[in-house]
Amino acid sequence: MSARSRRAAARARHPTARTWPPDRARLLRVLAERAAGRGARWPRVAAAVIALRGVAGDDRPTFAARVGIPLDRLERLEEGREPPAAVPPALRAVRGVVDWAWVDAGPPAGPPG
Amino acid sequence: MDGQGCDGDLAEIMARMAEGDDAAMVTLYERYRTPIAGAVQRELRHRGVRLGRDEVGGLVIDVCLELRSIAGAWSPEGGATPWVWARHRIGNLVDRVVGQHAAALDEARLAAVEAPEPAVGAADDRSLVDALARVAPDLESARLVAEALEAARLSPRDRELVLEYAYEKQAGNPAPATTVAAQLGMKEATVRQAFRRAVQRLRRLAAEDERFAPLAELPLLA
Repeated sequence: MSARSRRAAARARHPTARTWPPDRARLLRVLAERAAGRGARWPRVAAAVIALRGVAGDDRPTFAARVGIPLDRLERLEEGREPPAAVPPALRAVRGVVDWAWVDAGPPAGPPG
Repeated sequence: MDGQGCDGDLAEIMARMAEGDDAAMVTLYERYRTPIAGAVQRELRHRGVRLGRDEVGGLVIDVCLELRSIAGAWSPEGGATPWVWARHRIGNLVDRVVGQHAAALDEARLAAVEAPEPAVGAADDRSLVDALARVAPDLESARLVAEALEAARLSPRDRELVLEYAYEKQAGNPAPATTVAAQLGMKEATVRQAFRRAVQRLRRLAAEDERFAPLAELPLLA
């Protein structure tokens, strides 16, 4: 094995070469707490939609177009003004980011605003 | 994406965070959590504290929230990534968690001590050289680096410079010389030259002395 190969192997083993695993469940809880703090009626819905847009790296207009929903509907979802049943199927189809059972089990935070 | 450097992607994310977009904070987390975790772990190392992955993971999210709150003050023009630029803030977040792990104050012992001696320990590490010296007895790679700095006859200033420069580089700072120059009160060109010379001496040492050969495998000499 050449010195270059040994160095490459050492770099691959080094901790800095590894990626930090995501903890999306915790991130969702944090986002839901923030949404609840802003008065969202459905904070888990808000957290889930914000997380999905964040993973996509889109701004709101781009994401609304990507999902195929009007911008104002996306805004209502992100503001937690829509119940879990209103989440578009295109978002529910995304795997590995959001635990939809957790979202669906989330009670409304308070009376409708 | 490894999060190295202040690219346009990072600048755009920070700009959206400054506008109050929580989704941008998620994007930051998704794309840059690894170097942010590195910044958190550096602060922990400076304090001589080890936390579990779960606690570090929580801190990484806390850092993203913190960066969101101060995103408007960051500029890509400065050359430092947000987590390097805001490292004192990160240190404060770490202190909040580490404080929860501190042993209870021994009031009886405290009362018995009239003139407390200077504390010895991780919290007193003023520099990476101090931190290296402290962990060297228990960590073979750290001991090897410490001995190599000695064997290469680097001055105390150059030892500090080499470690700081190497850390900044590994942490994703695209302009390590700028940061280290500010820390040590030197010119950037001098920092770069001193680092280059010091690394050359360490490489020579690794090539000529079998005991130091493993140094060549470390990112420090890459």
